[in-house]
Amino acid sequence: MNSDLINLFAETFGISEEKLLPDATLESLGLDSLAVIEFLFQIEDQFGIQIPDQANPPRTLAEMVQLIEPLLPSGKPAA
Amino acid sequence: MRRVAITGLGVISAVGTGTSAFFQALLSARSGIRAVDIPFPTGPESVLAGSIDFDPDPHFPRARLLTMDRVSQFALVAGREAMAQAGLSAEPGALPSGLAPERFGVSLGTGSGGAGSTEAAYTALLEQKVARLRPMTVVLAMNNAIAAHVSMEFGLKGPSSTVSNACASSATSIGEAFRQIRHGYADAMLAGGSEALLNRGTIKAWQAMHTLAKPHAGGAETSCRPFSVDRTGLVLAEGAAMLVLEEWESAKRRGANILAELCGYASTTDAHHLTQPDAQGQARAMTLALEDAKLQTSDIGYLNAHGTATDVGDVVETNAIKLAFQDLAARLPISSSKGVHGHAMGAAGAMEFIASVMTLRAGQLPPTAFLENPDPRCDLDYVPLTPRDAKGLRAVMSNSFAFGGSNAVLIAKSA
Repeated sequence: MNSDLINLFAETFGISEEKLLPDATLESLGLDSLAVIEFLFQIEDQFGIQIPDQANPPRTLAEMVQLIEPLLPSGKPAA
Repeated sequence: MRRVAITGLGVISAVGTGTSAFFQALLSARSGIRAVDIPFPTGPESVLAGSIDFDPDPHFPRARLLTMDRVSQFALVAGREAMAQAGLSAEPGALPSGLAPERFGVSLGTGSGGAGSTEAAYTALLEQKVARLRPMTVVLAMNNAIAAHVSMEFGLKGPSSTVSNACASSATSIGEAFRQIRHGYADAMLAGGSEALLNRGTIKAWQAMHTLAKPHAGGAETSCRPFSVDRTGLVLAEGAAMLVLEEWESAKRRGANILAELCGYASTTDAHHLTQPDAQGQARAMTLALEDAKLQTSDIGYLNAHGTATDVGDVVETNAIKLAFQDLAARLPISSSKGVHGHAMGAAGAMEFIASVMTLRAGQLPPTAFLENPDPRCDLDYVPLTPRDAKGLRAVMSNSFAFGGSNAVLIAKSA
């Protein structure tokens, strides 16, 4: 998984990276739907991208990465 | 009519976290007020405040902190202490048998709720010119978020309400919780108040009222001087204070350690002026609270005054006490603890009621700090400077009076 994303995720939610397995559900990591949206907004600001609204928000870490990764600019985050 | 036991107390304040540190500071008149540099857009300014050095990380996981304003964090810290003292688990759903979660409610007071989050949102919008706000903005800032967090923390599913009566908020929330139990709508309530308003906008708004204390020559920490001839105003403070209230028989059945009985409450309104207090309205609250408690003026052995250290407020309260206690007013020991912890606004009533309950139990009266030269117009026994022994206290009263003319008075007696 994208290490910048994982780092940001770990930092934002104070979860150690070894717990961030692809199949881990966001709920099991202590995130409710509002926290997920909060994180997606943060990603948008940090990477200068726009994530389209989701009819079905990501449920697992892998789904979230799949949603975000194609939108990321190549190279390092802007901020 | 059902009686109400106080079985747990918790506080976080400018003079420490935990009721023990809090009460020790009151007894020794050790003030937590200091000058804090606030970065206003026009430049930094030194502001007197009862602020708390608080690191939330040891208390809450970071994912949860994203959803909690500082005001809710304070409430949970104080709530955990109160629940632990009551012998109640912090785990939701782990209440002892006989205490149904559906019969255990929450009653919170706050003046400004998530004011810091509100300010952060406006700063982002107007100063940083962001196009959108954090998704959590509403749930961080809404006033009842505090009660929501408290209810979720402990799994409390009974009645829930949030009172916003400015400086009388949490005295009122405790009084209303008392009535919920007394009249049978709940068997237990976690009641109190929380405030976290030391942000730029709130401070500027208070500065414009011209009611804030000026730094005293004796040091910033001595700047809030209730009933003193050289008082210059109040000092804004933050913090939270929470109490576990239980129906008397239910508390006894489960073997709870009953700290005191909450036995009287009254709430009145001046209907007089937005900011000028009214002695008649305040006196009526004290008299009605005594009637509610079925006590006489002579039963009250200590009164924790509202005593904010404003010129008008302290004189009007003095006159109100004389109206309510008549000839006995001169012999009643009274103190204001605001010189020590500052004015915690929506949390003040709960903080000071806890001070009153601890006074009742300790048999030691906390003094009014820095009262070296009493104002001749404030000529009651305001227990200056040093604590006083008062063995055999039977009942204590706590006054809370607010801008807007809201008055709330609570009475506790020995268990």
